[in-house]
Amino acid sequence: MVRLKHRYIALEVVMSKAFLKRNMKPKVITGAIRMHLNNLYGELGSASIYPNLSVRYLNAHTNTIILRVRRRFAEILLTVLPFVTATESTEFKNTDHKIFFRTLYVSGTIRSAQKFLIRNKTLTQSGCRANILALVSVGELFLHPSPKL
Amino acid sequence: MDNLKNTEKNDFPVADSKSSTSLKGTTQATDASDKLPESNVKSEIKSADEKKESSHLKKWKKRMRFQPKNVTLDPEKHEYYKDLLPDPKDDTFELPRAVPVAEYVEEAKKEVKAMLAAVKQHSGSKTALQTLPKHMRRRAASHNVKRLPIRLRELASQQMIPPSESSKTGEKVCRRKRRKKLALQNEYAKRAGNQGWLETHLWHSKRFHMTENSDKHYQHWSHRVSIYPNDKSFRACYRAVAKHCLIQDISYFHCVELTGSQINVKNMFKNMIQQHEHSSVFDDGVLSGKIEAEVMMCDLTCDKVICPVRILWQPKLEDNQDTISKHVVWCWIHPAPYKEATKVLEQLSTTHGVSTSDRTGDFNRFRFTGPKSSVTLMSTLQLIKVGEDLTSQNSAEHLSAKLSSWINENKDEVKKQQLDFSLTMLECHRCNFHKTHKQLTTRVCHGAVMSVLVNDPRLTLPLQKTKPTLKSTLSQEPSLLDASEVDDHEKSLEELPLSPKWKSEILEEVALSRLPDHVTSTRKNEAKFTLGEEKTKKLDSLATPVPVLLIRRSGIASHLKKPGFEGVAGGTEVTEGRSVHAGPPEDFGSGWDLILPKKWGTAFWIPFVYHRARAGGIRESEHSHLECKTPFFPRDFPDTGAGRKWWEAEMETNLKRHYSKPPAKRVNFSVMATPFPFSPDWDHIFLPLDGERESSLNVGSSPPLKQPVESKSELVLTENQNFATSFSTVTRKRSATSSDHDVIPSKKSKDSDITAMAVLRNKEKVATLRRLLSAGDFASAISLLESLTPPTLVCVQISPINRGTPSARAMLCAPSSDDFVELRREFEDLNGEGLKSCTGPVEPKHWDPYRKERKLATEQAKKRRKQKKKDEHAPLQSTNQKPHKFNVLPIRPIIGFVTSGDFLFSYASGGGVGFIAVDHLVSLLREQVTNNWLMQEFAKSAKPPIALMRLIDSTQYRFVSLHPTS
Repeated sequence: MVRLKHRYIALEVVMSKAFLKRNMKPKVITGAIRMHLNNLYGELGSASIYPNLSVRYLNAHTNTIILRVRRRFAEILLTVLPFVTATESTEFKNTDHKIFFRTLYVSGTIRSAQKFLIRNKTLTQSGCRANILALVSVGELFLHPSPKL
Repeated sequence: MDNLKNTEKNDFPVADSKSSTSLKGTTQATDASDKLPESNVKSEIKSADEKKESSHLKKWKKRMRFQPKNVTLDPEKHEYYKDLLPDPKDDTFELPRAVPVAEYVEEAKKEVKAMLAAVKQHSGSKTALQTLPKHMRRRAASHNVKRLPIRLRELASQQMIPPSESSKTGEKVCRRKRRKKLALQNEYAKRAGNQGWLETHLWHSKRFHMTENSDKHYQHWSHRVSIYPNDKSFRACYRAVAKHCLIQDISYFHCVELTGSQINVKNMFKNMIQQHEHSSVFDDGVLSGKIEAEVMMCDLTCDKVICPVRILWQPKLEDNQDTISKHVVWCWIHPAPYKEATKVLEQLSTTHGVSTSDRTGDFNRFRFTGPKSSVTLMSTLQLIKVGEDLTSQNSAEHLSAKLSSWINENKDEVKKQQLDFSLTMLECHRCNFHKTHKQLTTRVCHGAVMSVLVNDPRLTLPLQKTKPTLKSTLSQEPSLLDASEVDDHEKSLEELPLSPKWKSEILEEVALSRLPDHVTSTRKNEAKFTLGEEKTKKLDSLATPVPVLLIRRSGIASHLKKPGFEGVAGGTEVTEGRSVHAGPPEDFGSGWDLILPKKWGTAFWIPFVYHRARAGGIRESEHSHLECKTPFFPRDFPDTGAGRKWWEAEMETNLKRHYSKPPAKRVNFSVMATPFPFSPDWDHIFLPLDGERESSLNVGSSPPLKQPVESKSELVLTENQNFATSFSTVTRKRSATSSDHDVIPSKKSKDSDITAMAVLRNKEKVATLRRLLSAGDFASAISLLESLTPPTLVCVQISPINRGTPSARAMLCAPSSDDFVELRREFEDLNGEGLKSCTGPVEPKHWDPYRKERKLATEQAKKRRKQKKKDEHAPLQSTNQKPHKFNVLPIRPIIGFVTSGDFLFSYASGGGVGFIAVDHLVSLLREQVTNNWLMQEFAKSAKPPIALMRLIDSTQYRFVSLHPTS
């Protein structure tokens, strides 16, 4: 049987502001990707990826996201992801918010993406990377220190 | 992405409503009247959108039900730090002193849990096995969990548990249990009550085509009866009738018991039986109960025939003809006209002081036909030993006390009857098969009644089907061998067939005394292993006396073939080396009727079948009557109510069959000039041959390929003229139909015509007619026919002179003088083959008067279809007219119809039974008497009167010779 094949991409989002974290929605993520897609690959690139791009899972607490994209265009997306630096300006009253993604894992099924996340998180819980990650999650604060700091 | 869309869609309605309100505002300003519809449309669109959305959402939710949900922050909970800020509008703040690791770990833990659940979740409707890739699947894994990989075992073992116990209450019992004998019997007993099953129904329904209650032919029979066996065609049954033994269960005949003094009952019979049959009913033999009489029953006025009835009087010992003592009479009536007959019986019984009661369920009646029926009966019906006292000897509690006491009282009678039974059977058998006896005819006349006490036939049931032979049966009863030499029949024939059967209380007990099948069979099997006296004792303990009545039937057509009459065409009286065309022998269809008490049906039926009696159904009796070319009730009795109903049903089925075909595949009966293809129209043949016939069918006979009546107005004109002429000439009521080809006569006129219709049934008259015709005395035959007062039909046997097979609904037509000229030319043609090359005339093709209308109708239908597309509410018009008759008459006028016909084995040619109007028969005879050649030369091949026969779907006429019968 013919079926549409996808790539699932597990991401970690690093955000600049708590405001963004509070308002994190799938639309914000896809919007940010689209903007940079347009810049890098033009109309064709955004048209080929954006309609098929979807956020399958999003957790604002742990900053984890699973994206889904058609397999054919997965590479394009993967090249775009490192260049994403800010959210779409139209999203939040014409103000840019700094954001970037850390690609963790690319898989063919959502199941294996989930398996990866389990592995990832349990490792953190078992302790070896807990501190690092905890620091990273706080790291957003360091990345853009406030003028008062 | 999908999520995104959803949110977007969720947003839409809000925006929509906003825009619509704004629109509303504008429309209100411009035109207030337009507001309503517009808003309606809007709301409709909205609701449709919502619907779509909801279905989309549903699907989405279903797909994602096992996936972890998105987790977003709760703003209230997570904005605690805002209070810490000096300026609430500012988002930035001082770095906290501690990092909320615990909170983070907690959330991560939750996430992992959700992920684990999603990963473990077994998706949707797949079984554990189906989740495996194909190359890892094993067939044995479906019942052995250990064949599966460990990770799937838990899931698989869960799925392998049968559906929960909650469904156990409505659980079906397994088939094996359901098909166990006891369960089956219970179920059949439940069903038998309301369906009208005979006792042998189960046996038959497995092997026969049964009548259906929905079938109009058998709707009023109140029983489901076997029509024909599935294993063989009629030929096998014909052989059984001609040479062996055919058995039929005719328990569906209704038995009405009349009780009253002899004179009263006699008076009653006088009112319901026609004059010429009185002699056969009030015969001494019949009145004393020795003979069962068969007569035609009529309605109160004695001119409308209802059905044939078999009348059996209870024998009385006292010979004094006292008026007070009660006599009991059984009337056996066919189920089709039962209601009609009982109405008459009830009316008469109230006026004559006779009480009636229906005893249909109390008896089984089996019919044995064929020369070997005597020996079959003899070998199957084992006589009960009367010498000893039955009750004291056996201590069997199943025996009826009343019956055994009756036997003890009439010991001598019973013994005499048994001897009489054996001797008569022997005589009947010898008359058929032994050379020295062959010329003899049996002294056992038609309808002779015998009463015998017999044993339960299951005790002598052979293990395998065996053919009974006289030798084997006689070897069991050596006493008979000596007795058979002594010809002491005359004495025994005078015996009255006294039987305990006439006492209903005894009969009840006999019905109860039947041992169950398993008891007899197991005890019989036990007896197999014992020897000598023990064995006989054991079997004797099972012995059950059953009183039965036997009624002799001589051949079907025997009344037509009494000495002094010549047989049917080509028949030779030589018994040895008969011609294959000679027709059935005189005793064809002779045999016995066996009347059994109720509940004993299967106990007797199966032993008979094991004695190689071939079982038959209705078709068999119908066909064996046809073999003798005698009419069969109700099919060949169009003057009776039952016959009319039969033909109505026939009409319906034929119509259905005809019009179920697409128009292009139907026979065009107009072109064939077959006006009545579905059932014979008897009114038509009583009409004189000129003008009136045409008027009755409105359009009139269209000469071959003549142009049709052009316009409708013209048609109406001719109609009116015809009516004018016909009203002046017609004496009898006619069903004048008005509309062009919807020729369904109204019911009233139909009934009145049927009452006027009568069939010549006086047996003596028919016999003399046959004699006169075969002797060539046409003048007196004509005068006899003319003396018949009402316009009647004569039942005729149809024998094609060379070729052609009659079939039901075929037309009998009057040949023109040219046809005879042509016949002579063909017959005498030296290059031809004589009679063989006489083909008969052909009806030319006719113009179809409906052709134009039909074409118009199809065009209109096309138009309508087009219109329909445009306008859906166009009213539907029924254009399908299904005429019952066709308005085209053949060139040779129809003078009669064939009611049944087929290829006959006994004649080795086609043959049938039909009816012809007397007037036409007379004119046929008159015309043919003048034809010298026909009378002198051709008479050797076929005797006049000669007519033409044409099948409904053929244009070929065949010459047939007609012989009156009854």
